[in-house]
Amino acid sequence: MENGDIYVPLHKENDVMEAILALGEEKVGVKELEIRKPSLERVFLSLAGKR
Amino acid sequence: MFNSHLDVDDLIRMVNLEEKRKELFANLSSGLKQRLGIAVALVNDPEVVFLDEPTSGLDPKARHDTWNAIRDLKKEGKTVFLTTHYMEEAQELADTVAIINHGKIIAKGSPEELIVKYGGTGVLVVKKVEKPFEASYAPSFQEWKPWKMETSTFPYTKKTM
Repeated sequence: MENGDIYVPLHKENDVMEAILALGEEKVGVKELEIRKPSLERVFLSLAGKR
Repeated sequence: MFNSHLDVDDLIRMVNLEEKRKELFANLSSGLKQRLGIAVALVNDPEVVFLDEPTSGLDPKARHDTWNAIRDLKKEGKTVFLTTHYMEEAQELADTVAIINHGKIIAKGSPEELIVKYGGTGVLVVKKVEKPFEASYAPSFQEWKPWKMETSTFPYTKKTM
C-alpha cells in the first residue's frame, strides 16, 4: 500500500486476473487500474539508486 | 580523414530543413537548431556520429523530430553514439545501452536485456474509490458480468441478454 493505492507485483501471466478477482472478493471499490511495465528508467533507478 | 563530403542539399533534406534553407540560424527554434547540428555533424560523412544530449531542453515535438532524424542516421548505416539523461530516449533509440554511474559503466546490454535482468516485475496499481463499492452507482463486482450485459447501458443498468 502506498498513498492508499494498492501495488501488486506481477510475476506470471495470470496475476492480473487473480488480483482483480481478489479485489472483487474483498469488495474493494476500484477507481482506476494501471499496469506499470518495467522500463529502462526502473533499471537506472535500481542500479544507480533513487535521488 | 575529412576527404569525404556529403552534398549540402542532401543533408538539409535528411534533417527535413528544406523550408528553412534561407533562414538565419538565430531565427530557428531549439528543435530545428538541434536538427541543423545533426546535419553539421554529418558534413564529412562520418561512420560514427557523437551526439551529446541532443534533445535536452526540447519540447516533445522537437524531441520526436530529433529522434526521427537519429533513426534516419541508423537507417543510413551510421553508428550513433548518444549520451542522454532520458531513459525513455535510450529505450526508444538504442540498440545497446551503457549505464554510467559516477564515471563507470555499471551495466551494458540491449534495452530489453537490461529490463529483463534489472527491471524487476511489472506492477498492478489499484487506485481505490473513497466510498465502499456497494455505495457507488456501479454494480458490485460479483454482479458485473459484461458478457451478459448490454454494453451501451453499462454501468447504469444491469439488463441481461
